[in-house]
Amino acid sequence: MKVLDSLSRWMGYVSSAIIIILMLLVTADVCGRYFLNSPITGASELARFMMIIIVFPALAWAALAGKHIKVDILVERFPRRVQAIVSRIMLLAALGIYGIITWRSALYSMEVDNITSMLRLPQSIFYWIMTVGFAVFCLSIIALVIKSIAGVVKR
Amino acid sequence: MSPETIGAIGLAVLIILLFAGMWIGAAMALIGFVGYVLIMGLEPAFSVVSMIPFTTMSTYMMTTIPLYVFMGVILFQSGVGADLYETAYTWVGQLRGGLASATVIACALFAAITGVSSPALVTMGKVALPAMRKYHYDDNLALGSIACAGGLAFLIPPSVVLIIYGVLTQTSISKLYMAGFIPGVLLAGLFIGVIMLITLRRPTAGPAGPKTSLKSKIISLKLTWPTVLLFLVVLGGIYLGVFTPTEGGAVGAFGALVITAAMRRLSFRKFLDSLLESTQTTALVMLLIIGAYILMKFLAVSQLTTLMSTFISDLAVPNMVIFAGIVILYIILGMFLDIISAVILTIPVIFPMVMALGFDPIWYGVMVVILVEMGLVTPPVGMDAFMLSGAISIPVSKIFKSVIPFLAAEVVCIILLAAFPQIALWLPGTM
Repeated sequence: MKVLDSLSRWMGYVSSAIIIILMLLVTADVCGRYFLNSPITGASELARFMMIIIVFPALAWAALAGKHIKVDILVERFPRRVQAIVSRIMLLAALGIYGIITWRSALYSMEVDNITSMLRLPQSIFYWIMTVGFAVFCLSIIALVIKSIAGVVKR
Repeated sequence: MSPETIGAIGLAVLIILLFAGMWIGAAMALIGFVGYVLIMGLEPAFSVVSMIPFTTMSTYMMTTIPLYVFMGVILFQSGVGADLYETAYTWVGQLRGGLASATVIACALFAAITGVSSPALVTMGKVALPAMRKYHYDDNLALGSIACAGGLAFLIPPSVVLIIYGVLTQTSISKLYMAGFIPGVLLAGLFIGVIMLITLRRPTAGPAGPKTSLKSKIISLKLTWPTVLLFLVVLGGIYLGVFTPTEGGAVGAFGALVITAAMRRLSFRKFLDSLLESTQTTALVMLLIIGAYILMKFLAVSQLTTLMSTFISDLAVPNMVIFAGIVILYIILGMFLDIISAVILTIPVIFPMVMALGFDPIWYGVMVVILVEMGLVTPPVGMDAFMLSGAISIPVSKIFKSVIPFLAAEVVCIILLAAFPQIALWLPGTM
């Protein structure tokens, strides 16, 4: 559990760092275009692929932070035990769909052999980053289920 | 079973899952996937879920979301909001009800540099509320003005909700931004109108604050110039076509960092906290968006949305009556969901219908934002009301009661927009 906590946190830090790099890259591109008359080649392409690194590695960390967006109004009125069981079932349902997404992304990542048009980067790198992000995200959902059963999370 | 039936059952199950407390993004993805399997078969569904997350995230439009979120969080953490109140207070505080009007003005200014309502709510709850209590303002007037004006952040650009609407409906974000501006100012004006009416009838509700000299008014502006500068650069740049919305976001976030650092408002700790919070927010919003895209694929093949659109546009009732129905639906939804989820959840189903009725997508985007904002401060679970109640430890029922006159202003704004779509559409039309 501890390993997963720190792994997901560090992946979140990577995503955060990329937000800063994205901001600097785009700002530099704008400045270059207007003041130096030399935009950065492939900046918008790079920005697009940075999005992959901003979003997917951070998923597990965000999930473990427990800030997920959901509707509590009805469930809160049920008895504690029912609440706990319903929430576990819902977590398992989420695990089901994200498990499928992870599995199919992994298969697809193995097939991809495109090269990006401007920067000539192999696209598969980014597909793998996404797949790993989803995989750790699934692990974190499993961790949430285990915590809920172990009664660590009292909600 | 016909695809349309599967579509309808899918939506019903989706609602059940949501009320059972499933993560909204996961529920949309699950229903979208299962429904797609039932209609198109397993292999095509697998290919949808392996492609959608990557292709939707690696678009240039998506990069706007982390950038504007980051910009807003930095400005919030650095306490710029309190400065805005200080300036607004110095200018209009001496009028009757002036401290409440100052709250509205400060929220509108804050809205011009942030894209979500929480910074304004928390800041005004901590700064404006004590000021109003000091001058014995009626609590209803004080709370209502904060709770409702906080929502202006979603309407006055940059707005994270308008970005998401633009991304999901393929509508120009630049145009949506411009479309939100005048209605946002109009709504702020209507809020001030409400405050003036209340204090005209009951002067004790909002006594005037202390007089301030012209000199101190001018001096107070020095607290506000960074906000105005950022707003002019970001929105002006987008309006003139100097920036794409992404570039505006990057320059805005960078500018916010530079300005707050120069004002010695930004410690490394605050910078780090802002960044990490933005990363988490972005990840969670993106999970919702991925879910919505998978759901949209399913609804498209189910033909349900087409069927509903045809049905609705063939109804022998005026468009505006149908629109009134949509208004009511959104107000109800806004009660249960936060604004971002409500928009993401409804666009796949309702947007095609609205287009079939011949409404303008940009005008409708602005409308949706005001509609959901109303739901944010109304019972049973108006999110903004709860957030404000948490920030200042006041029972949420008091806040629900306090917003009633301000809701009237929002209704007037909606009616005006319905009657004169040009209020929203004129500015983007001049681009």
